[in-house]
Amino acid sequence: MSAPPLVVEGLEVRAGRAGPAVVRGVSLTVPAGGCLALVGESGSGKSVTALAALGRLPPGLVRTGGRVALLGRNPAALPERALRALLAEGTGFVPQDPLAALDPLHPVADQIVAPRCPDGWGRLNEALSAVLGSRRPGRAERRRVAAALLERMGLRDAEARAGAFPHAFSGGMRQRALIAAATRHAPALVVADEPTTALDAAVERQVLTLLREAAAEAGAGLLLVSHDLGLVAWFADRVAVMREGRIVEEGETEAVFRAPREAYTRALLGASPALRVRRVAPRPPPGGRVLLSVEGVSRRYGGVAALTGATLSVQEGEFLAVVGESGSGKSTLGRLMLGLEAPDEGRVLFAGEDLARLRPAALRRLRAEMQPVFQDPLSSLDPRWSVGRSVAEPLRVAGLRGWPSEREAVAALLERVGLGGMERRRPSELSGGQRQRVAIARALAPRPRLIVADEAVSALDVTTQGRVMALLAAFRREGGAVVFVTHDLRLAAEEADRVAVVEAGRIVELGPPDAVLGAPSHPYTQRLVGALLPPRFPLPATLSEEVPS
Amino acid sequence: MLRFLFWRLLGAAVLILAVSVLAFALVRFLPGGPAQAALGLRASPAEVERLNAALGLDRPVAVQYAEWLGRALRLDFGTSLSGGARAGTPVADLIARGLAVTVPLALLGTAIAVAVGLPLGLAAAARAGRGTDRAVSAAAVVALSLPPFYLGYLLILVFAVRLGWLPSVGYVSPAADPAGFLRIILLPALTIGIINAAPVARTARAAAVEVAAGEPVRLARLAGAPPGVVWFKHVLRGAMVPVVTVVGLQVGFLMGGVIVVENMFALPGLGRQMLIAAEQRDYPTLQAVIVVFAAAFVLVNLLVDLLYAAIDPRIRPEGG
Amino acid sequence: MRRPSAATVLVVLVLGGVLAAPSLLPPGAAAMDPARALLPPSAGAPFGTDVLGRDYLARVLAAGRPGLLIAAGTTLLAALVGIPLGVLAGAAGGRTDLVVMRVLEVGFAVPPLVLAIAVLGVTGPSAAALVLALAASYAPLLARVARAATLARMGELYVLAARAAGERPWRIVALHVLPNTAGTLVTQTALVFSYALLAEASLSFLGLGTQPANPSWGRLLTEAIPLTTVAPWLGIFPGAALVLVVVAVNLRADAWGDALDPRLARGGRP
Repeated sequence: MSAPPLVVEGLEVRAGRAGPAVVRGVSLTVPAGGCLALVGESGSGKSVTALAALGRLPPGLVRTGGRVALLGRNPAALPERALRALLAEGTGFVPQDPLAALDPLHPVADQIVAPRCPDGWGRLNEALSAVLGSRRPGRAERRRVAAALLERMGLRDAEARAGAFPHAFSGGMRQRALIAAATRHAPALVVADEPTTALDAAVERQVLTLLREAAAEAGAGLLLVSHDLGLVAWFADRVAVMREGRIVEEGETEAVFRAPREAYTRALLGASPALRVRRVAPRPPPGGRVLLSVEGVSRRYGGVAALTGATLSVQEGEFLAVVGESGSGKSTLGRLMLGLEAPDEGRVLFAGEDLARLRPAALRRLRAEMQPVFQDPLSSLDPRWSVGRSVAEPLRVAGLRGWPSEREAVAALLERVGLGGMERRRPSELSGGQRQRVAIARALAPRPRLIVADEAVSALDVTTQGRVMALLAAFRREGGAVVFVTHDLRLAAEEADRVAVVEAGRIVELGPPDAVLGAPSHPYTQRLVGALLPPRFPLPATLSEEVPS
Repeated sequence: MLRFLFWRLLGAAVLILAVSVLAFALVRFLPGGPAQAALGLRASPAEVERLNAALGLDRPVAVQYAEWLGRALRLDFGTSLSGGARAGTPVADLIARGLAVTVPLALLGTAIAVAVGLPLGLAAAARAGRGTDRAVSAAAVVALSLPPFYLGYLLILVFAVRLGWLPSVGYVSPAADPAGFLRIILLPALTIGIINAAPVARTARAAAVEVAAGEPVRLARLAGAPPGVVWFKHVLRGAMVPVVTVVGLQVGFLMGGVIVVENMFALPGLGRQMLIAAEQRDYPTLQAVIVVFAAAFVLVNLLVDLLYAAIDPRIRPEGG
Repeated sequence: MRRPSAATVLVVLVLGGVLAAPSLLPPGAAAMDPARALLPPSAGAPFGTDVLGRDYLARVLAAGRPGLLIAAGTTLLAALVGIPLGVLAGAAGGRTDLVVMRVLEVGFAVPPLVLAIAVLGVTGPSAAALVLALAASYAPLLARVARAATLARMGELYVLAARAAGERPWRIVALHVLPNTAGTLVTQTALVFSYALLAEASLSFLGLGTQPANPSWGRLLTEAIPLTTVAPWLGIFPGAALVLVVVAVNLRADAWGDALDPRLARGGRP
């Protein structure tokens, strides 16, 4: 057995020489030819650990303790030249966001076959690309090599694609190209930092499979950094769980999943929708009146049809999930339901009123009944407004709606979402999960009958997701209706009374979650369901009885 | 691609046309009136009326404009109303003579601006936050604050008066003596070039810093790429787009500088023609010069857009 | 907004001083004394004397006001016209935006100095015409910046949330868009002030702006050119004064804008 390409012992990384520790006493080993997954939520220090192992910490972070043996050498002790050579020949890196990582100004071929250790002439040639772009000498050769690589990665039309630019590729294709770039020189170690987070669920599995195979073919050890436990279970030989800079638990994958020792590991496993096998106890169907009705609605932007002939209804107190991949039109549907845009064809009726036909004043009055929660917590709150002011905004417009006073309303609402006493804080002082809860408090303020949540939990950690979902579930228990737009089929299925599946602007399937997930009728839904990774290991007995709070 | 070009050219033509309407209206409707202004304040109403009739200024404005436009399309811009040697010269001739000086001057000035500004901006970005960066930023602020006549004055003081290397006045035509012409326009071009190097340096620095902090560069460093390659392949190419843009945007500013230096160095370019026309209330020339300057601005920006598309593949229209 | 920094206070003091100078100078300062014409700088006359024997320091100080007033007037007018237009175009979108942008393009196509010379060529030297001509060139610039900043804000989700809460469009602009764009607008307006200062100086230098009776710094340079070899200080000092003021404004422009920006919003935790 050859030597492990990466051994880390007692690693410590601080923000500044005397700053707070971001990584404390982390030790791990990447097996040669095997895969170690480094798992944790945001802020756990997993990415920083990986970067420290490569000797490429971002500015501001300093390695203050411990040992790193990267292919037997200490990257921090190497002169820059030697480190570059070590990285170029011995390691490969697969980044999180393939769109951002590829330079839009150069064709893909020039980025994946760039010589890793160019000699003098090679360097000059590469430098010429500043002015000549891809037209510098050797163009045909580069394309040929790139095409061969892309084809091995499973891309069709590799010849044509090699000369194309990154914006012409889909996310999955870009990541395949980057995997090719990271493995073609048969490195001893491949580091993948959240390689599938930016991709659609349907593509995740394929990309990871490819990554695992490419690494194996190159004989490389793979360090996989991820927050997705479900994925990790299938692809890693060993798992190390990180929390707040420390490794909490480490061991062979099966052992950690079947019998987690630490409470945090158990909490993480329990919170991942991918791993939950049982459903929340079935609820009686709402059986109420129709609150919102969408009839034959279409919407176009420029020449592109975002939504075509969409028809569905939401009953009072119902939790309806709208599921689709990015670009499917599900967000457009959400905005049309809220009356924020008018459909080009068809109508949207709320409590029997056609939103497009209402006078502006009447429409504004109706708005208090339906409120949104958006995806991006950063931009959904005005950075200059205090939290209290943002929450009170709907009340300023629609009146107190039954609250005794604005101050009491804000205090009560913030209390309810677990942020009591934070009226005066600014959004920049809160975490993403906290901001999202403020957004929910704001949505709840005018006592609406409907909340439309557009990817409200996608940007959050799994544990935070649970809290936000709980708030939405509580709203529903009190009689409110929820339209939950998401790309996560499993998350949708947990809470929803009905699930609508959207593909390319059309609703292709609608029904209760058991039917949609268990026996999908439309080919697209079948594909979506089929792409979901089933849990590899059953959850430990004690966990499977716990219902997420 | 050709369709893209066609539409852009059409847009440019419409814009230039709109400017010509503006120029026309300007000259007709401002207090003073063309004939009054040409004759001076002491002219009697009768004289003014006679000139009005002679120039056709008593007819409906729309008709006047149509006539002017018709002639303008044949490159006939009327005759100059200036006194002295210029009286009666076709405006088109004046403009042609002016362009022969202004175009080389503007080109040389722009070339100097980019040749000085781009490397300085990149150097500042490479050493961001340290001495070089601060020095370049400070120099840029000062350069931007220098009125062209002042910098020209200082350069004359140093190079012409004290050192005697370059002449400060005197003109030879490029056709007659190319080398002499170059010497003549060197100081004025330097003046414009130094001032306009500042926005180029600033933009280059900002763009370079942004690209250097971006993902492609991070990935390249993680793959062990040498810094030279990273800088040329990614940073320089990435900085070129904003630099080209700023050069296009600054053309208006550049033209202001050209006008001032031409007058101060007594070069018979378009700027000098324009000032003489202003002093003499020579409205046909003024009108024509506005349109020419605007046309130059619009065409330069069109060129910039094309250059843009050549560098950034995302901008190209489909199939380009 | 935080308390102004020392640098800002300094700049304001300098500007105020220059504006007030003509009224503060002792009456004898402008006295002509042909016997003491064209003397180089000395203890008695720190800036030397001009061709008529006047103390040049007094002359340069007095020449600051005309230029500053014209530049201030230009900037004010350009901001009052351009910023609301830009905000309107950005907030209303659609056809309004298109129309406004097309009109602005025409304004952009003619360089400021070209337009000003043409206007002054018809009307003759006139401060009012100068202010109007320059403002007509700078208003599109401010409109474009205002439009871009407004568009950026309108795309933010908190604006969408405000709409969903039923907030009226003009209130959204007043409460959400304007406060968040104030910083950018202040910076850009300060920069326009510096452009206007330079433009006025150039036009006066060319003879179309202020006249010998009440010269600005640019005009002083016109008179200095023929005497370059004999008395270079006649050109050096007024030019330096202008550069100093413009540099001061340029250096503070960013800081003034930053003071209004939601500083706390930047660099927040993800």
